[in-house]
Amino acid sequence: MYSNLKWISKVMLLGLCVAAFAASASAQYKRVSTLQLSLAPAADEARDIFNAGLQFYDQSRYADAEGKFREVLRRFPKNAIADRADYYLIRTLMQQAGKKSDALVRINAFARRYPSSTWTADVQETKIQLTNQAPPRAEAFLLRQAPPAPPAPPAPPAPPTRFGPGAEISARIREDIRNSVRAGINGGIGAGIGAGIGAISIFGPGEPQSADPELSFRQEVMRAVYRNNPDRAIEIQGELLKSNPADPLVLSTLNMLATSQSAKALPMLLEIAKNSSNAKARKDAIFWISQSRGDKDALVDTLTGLLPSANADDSEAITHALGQVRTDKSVNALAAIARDKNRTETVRNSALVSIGQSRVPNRVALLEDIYKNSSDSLPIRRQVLFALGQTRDPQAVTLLGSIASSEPSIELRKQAVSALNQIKSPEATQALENLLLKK
Amino acid sequence: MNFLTASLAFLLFLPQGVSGPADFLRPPGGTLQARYDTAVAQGRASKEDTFWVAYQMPERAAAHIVSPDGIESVRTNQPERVGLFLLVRRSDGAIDRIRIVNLSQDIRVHDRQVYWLGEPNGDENGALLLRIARISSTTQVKNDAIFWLGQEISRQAGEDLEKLATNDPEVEVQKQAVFALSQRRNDESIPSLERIAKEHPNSAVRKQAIFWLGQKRDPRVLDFFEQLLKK
Repeated sequence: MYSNLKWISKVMLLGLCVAAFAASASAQYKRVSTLQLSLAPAADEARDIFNAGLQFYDQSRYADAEGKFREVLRRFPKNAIADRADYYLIRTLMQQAGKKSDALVRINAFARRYPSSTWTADVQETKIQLTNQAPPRAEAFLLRQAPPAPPAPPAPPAPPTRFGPGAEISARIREDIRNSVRAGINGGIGAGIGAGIGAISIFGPGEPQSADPELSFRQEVMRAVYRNNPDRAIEIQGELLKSNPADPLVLSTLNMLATSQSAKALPMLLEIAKNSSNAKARKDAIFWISQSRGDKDALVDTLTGLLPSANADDSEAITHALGQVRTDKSVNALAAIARDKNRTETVRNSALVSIGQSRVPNRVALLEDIYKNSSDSLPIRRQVLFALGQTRDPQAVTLLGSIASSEPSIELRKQAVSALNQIKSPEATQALENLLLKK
Repeated sequence: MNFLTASLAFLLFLPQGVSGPADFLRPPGGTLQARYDTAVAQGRASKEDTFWVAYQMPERAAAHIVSPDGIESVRTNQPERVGLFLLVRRSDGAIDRIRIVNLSQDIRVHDRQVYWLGEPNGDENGALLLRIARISSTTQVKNDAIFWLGQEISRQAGEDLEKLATNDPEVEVQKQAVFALSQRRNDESIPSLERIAKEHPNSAVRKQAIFWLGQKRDPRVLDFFEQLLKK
């Protein structure tokens, strides 16, 4: 009896010791937490916006989340959180119908934008989710590994890639038209500005994932052949095109051709772009040349090499394709097209839009030069002003402010104001206020 | 004080109900199916909410791995003795989950009774798995059963899988069967998958067959694809 009492007392004493130690440790933890909080950097606005976006994302409010992530990237492109915001923007786009091609474009540009980002692997993972295609190196690695421990869940079949000329071009056109409409509403002018851009929509409507079950099935077969033997897949596409230059299977699988590892891919696209009797085939091929693997400058040479023999529609497609390459060389080629008075206004306008949307450092200087040298063409000058507004560049604000205050043509001054309004930066607002206060 | 001591001792040394293979119950029956039915009947008559019905799966072919350059190798590091444990609900006799256990290791089962059905042959194993795949109301259980049916080497299992892929009312089950088929040896799976790719009424299942055929890296498959594309 006595020994039991002694044993229980010991247990209770031990329990009390543990409780006291836990309370003491907990108090210390609170002090450490307080210290950490006081040392934490002051919250920055970019992070606040990002967190708001993340909250929307968690609530599945993807359109709202997209707006927040885009705001972070637009206003704070150099912030430490920018790459993370871009990653979540990609995931947000993936959740929204019709935006998967936008997501893929951002995925492809991610490594270039943030070369040392720790989110690169995650972004690559999203690409695998989106395309169901592992990068070649990863695939080789995975295939060397033993299969997962049983019972292995079945991997789903690869969904057909939604990324195609139609999707890509449509997204850009939508953005262009939104901008044009905004310019028109805000400035009361500019209704004609979008007209040239809208004309782009006449090409590239190809929908890679067909609603036709038979075509969709054959696309899957073609994808499987590409995985096994890209050269043979290209040969089959060539044979199909011989019997039907507008073969729907081939036209809807040009993305596979463009992104294949085969050395035959680019020559095949070039052959279609140059010699196909079908206008849609030529235009889709031109687009997919811009998305091909390999040296970007060489792609620009290839595309510009097509210009001399191209008709007006094909020239427009080439201009748009050059806009997709987004290198210094491609933008210089676009500037040459924009300056070329022998080109149609539509083609020149399209080139200007692409320059405005590019991120090359000298884009404002190029647009300024084109503006100065196109005094004979009011529409081109208006389009330059529109493109300057698209750049959202501080240099563009200065230039637009100067044009808005000193340009003799009232129409161009109004267009410059509209472009400033489109930029919506504090500098642009200041420039507009200055114009109002000016006597 | 004695009462206090006894209560504390009870709390410290709460009975755990641990059993090893020697404690497993062995229901009678001439076939696997008969023993399974007896086990379920006995288990449902007990007081436990759930119980295990388990057996040792027949030795299976090791996994075949085909490299991108067409070299096929066989992975043999599977456990030598594999047990299939089915967690059965007393309320309706349905299988709640399937667990795979390496019987070469020391096995202890907590809290639930185990009905041990022995070591059936491949055909019996395949037939039971097929039955589970057909009647189970749980997708995960169906999928697991189909997967393990795919691992069963008997030709009958392959034929059963093709039937499931063709005739099961649920498309997801059909797709799972296509996947399980694709994991079988090439000489068996390629003709089956080609038949499904050509003849299946559902284009999603046909595409699934194409996808898994595409993973085979077999020259016969490429010829088949060419025929489909050129027709």
